[in-house]
Amino acid sequence: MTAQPAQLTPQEVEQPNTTAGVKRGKTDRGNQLLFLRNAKVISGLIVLGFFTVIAIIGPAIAPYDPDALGDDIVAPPSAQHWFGTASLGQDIFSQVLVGTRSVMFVGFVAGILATIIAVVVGVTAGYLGGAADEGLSLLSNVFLVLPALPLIIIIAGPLDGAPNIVVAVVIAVTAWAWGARVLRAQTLSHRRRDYVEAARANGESTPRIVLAEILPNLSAIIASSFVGTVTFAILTQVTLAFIGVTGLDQWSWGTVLFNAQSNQALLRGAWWWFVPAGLCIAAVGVALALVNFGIDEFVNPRLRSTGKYARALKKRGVRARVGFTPVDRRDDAAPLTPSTQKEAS
Amino acid sequence: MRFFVRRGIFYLVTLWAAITINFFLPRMMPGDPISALIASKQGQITPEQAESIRVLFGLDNQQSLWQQYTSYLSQILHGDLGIAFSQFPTPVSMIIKDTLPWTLGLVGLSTIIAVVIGTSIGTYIGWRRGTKADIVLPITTFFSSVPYFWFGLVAILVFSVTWHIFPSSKGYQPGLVPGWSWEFISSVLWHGALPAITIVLSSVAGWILGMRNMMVTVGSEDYVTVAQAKGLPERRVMVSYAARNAVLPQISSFALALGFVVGGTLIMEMVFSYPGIGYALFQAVQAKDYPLMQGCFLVITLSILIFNLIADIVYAFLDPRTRQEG
Amino acid sequence: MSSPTDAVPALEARALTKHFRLRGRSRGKAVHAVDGVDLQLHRGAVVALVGESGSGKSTIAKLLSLLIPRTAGDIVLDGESVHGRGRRAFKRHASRVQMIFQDPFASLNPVHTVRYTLTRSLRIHGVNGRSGSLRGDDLEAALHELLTRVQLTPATRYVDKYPHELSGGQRQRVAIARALAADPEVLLADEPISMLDVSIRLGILNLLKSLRDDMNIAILYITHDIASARYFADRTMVMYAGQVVERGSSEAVTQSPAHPYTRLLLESAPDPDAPPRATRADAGEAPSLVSPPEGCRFAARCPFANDLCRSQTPQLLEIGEGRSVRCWGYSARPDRPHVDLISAVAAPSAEEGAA
Repeated sequence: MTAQPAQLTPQEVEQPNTTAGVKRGKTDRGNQLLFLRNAKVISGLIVLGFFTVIAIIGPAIAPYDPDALGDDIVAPPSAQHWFGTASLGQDIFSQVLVGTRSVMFVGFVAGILATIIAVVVGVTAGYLGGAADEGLSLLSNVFLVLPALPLIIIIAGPLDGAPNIVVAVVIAVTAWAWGARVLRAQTLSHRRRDYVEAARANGESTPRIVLAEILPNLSAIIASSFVGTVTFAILTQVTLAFIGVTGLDQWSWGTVLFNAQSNQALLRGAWWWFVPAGLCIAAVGVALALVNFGIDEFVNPRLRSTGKYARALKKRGVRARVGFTPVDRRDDAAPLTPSTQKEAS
Repeated sequence: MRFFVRRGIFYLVTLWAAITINFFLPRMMPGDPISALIASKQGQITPEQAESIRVLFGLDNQQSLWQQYTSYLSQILHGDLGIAFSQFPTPVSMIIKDTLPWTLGLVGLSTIIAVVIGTSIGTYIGWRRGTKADIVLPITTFFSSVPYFWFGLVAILVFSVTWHIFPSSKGYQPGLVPGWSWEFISSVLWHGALPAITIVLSSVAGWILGMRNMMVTVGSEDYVTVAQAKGLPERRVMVSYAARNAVLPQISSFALALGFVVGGTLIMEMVFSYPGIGYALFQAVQAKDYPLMQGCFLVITLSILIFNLIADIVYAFLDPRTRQEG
Repeated sequence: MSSPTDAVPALEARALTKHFRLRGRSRGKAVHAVDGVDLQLHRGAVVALVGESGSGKSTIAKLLSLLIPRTAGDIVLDGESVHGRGRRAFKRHASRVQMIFQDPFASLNPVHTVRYTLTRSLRIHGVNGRSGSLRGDDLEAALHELLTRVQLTPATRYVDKYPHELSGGQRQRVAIARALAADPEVLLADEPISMLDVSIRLGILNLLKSLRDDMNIAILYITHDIASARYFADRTMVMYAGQVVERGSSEAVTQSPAHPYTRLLLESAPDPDAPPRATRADAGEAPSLVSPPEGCRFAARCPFANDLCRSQTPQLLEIGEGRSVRCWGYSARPDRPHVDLISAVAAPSAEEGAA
């Protein structure tokens, strides 16, 4: 088989010894599984899955009603109250459990809505060009520059305890601009490529070109943008609850922290009041970031190859430096192939 | 030159959008809390003040929407943002005038520190990929996954309550007379240290990651290889060749990130009761003080636009390509 | 070899012109990419379009396939003028005029299998006049037939592959199969082999030859390599700076070039058998297409140019049966330049010692 063109693609970097004649789709499915085998991604998805389950069953398994008053006031964690109690004896563990639902719901719904808006606006602007592009770009840039949190506050604030779905919509409306901008740039780049011209020359219709030809090439970017938006939405929801914008009857991790703050938990030294909620937020945030890193490494072949070979090279005493081709000067050096080291984490 | 004109027009359009959003929001909300508030303050409110509130919130239904809009615009452009209900009868603009400098000082200082530290670390990590230095990345990612305010709470608990190093709230020692005395300034710095540290730790991860990714991209470019082949010392190549080019996108993303930093600073002020505009906004939300809420939003937006413009000027100054494109 | 004068041309361009308008600082000016080009493609014949980068040859392909709108002139398909305005008109045109691109990897969507790409083409153009879409066994049979025709056998080995799993030559064959799925009358091949390894170029050219012979397709073969034009094409047209400068049968044009530019192209193709000869000084670059010079566009590089050449643009002049040149040297004007056609190629000149 003759040499392939020098274009570096993720697949080519992964499998430099591809030969034609292999069974159906094996290498490509192998790549998709490679993405999933990435340790970062797996740990991230496990944590997210855990919290999703809690979000669903939380209210059912909570030992107490989060608002129920009790006898032990501001008590540290104990057997009856795993996370301790609040100023009127409420069980904090139950509050955190019940609060999971709002956070995960708003996070993912806002993420989905914002991503849909970003795809529609970004891809349309990138593909159509001209006046439509100028107009949509102006719209995205305006939303990008407007400060998100204050904007959300003045929209949601007056609503006086808005339900989760409204909060999700408000967050989506302010958070779509970043993804739209990235997708527009990507669409512009793809639109000029030969395969789009070839599809046009073949007689393919414009909707099909956008949806079936260009969009599949953008899937990694869309996934990454989605994860990023979910992260933002979750942090924003918690923040809004903390300020008191979302209303105190909707339990959220932020509400727990709000109560902690207003009842001087810090000065009282009641660390159990706000540490668990914060750790949960951090856990979800880190999990999402890990998934995003995994996507990032999958898509950017440079990040992937340098990192993967770097570890193997280090074992041989060669330091990998970006831009340098590592040279192994030992006499017994064996060729470096993907099969001689374990898969990148 | 054309570049600046285009950007300037864009920022004006954004400002207009913010003002227009402010105009329409109260008119779209269910219920009408404003009239009730005016009624409750009947004796204390002057006719001019009442009128300005009406213009802000569209209570004067005799005018057409367009007329309301024009009188709203002219009022805003004259700097009249209404009366703050929660701190009656102080005008909103006065409250903002008092609080804004605190926020600007805190944001400015923390961001500069975060950018400098983050870019330096990112340069170093990006240059030496696949080594122990990579461990910094997950650590800082953890810090940035935590919402600002939780971080602030923990910081207060550790550094203020448990170890009495820093004060836990306020901008300066209550009781001190504001002035240019050393006593006052040192109190300000001391009170501002903890909020600044938490902002820096929280936001530095983004800078590190961005710079590191750019170093990875730039490091594999040919001109870096040429510099190395010429035999230049490694530090020189890393800084003058690679970092100099990698830092450019950072500057433009600096402007965009500013919005997030400002948002985070707002929360930090709420946690620390720091007397900035974020704290004012926080109190406004608690008290359902709509004029103050909207006034804060407008001023925050204006500040961000000005910062963006400054960043654009800096970027154009540093990158000769932008100047050429015009 | 079919004569170009019988039969109605399958696809014809008449005085085809394309100017790209400039934006920004140079507003009001335009890039004269293609100026007044006449072209005829007959079924069962190959026409080569030779030129360097920037000569306008790729633009002509895009104009003929209606991918970009023309500025002036006419495009005639089977005797009817075509505009391609509107989806249906464009699709009708696409089912009869297909294009193959230069970069075999870039012209196939990397996320789609060969099966998907070919199926789309079959479905869009409704093979054999069937209106319903192909499914199941019929689809498999059609795919099999397509792959066999481009010599990718056994078809089952290739049909579910992704582009990155194929070699350059194989990808180009898939691209050709995609074009054939429409059952076209005309194939526009835009430098189909420039990005392939030298050893497999011949295979692709032979495949195109068999398509010309077996399926009676008209082929426009665009290339910068004039040697392959001689091998593959029946007629050759040479383009420079957006204009046709010479046309004729491939044999005549490549063996006895009339235009100085054609001779330059032939000289620059390395020929191990020819004795070393002095190369005439070739000063100058291709002219700016934004403001084309007043006279002949090749005058700046032409060793024979005189004042007439620099002040007036020559038209295409007939110098034989189906042969024409755009050069004042072949006119009857008294102030024409003296174009030394024969001696520089055939006889070694006295300057050889200086080589």
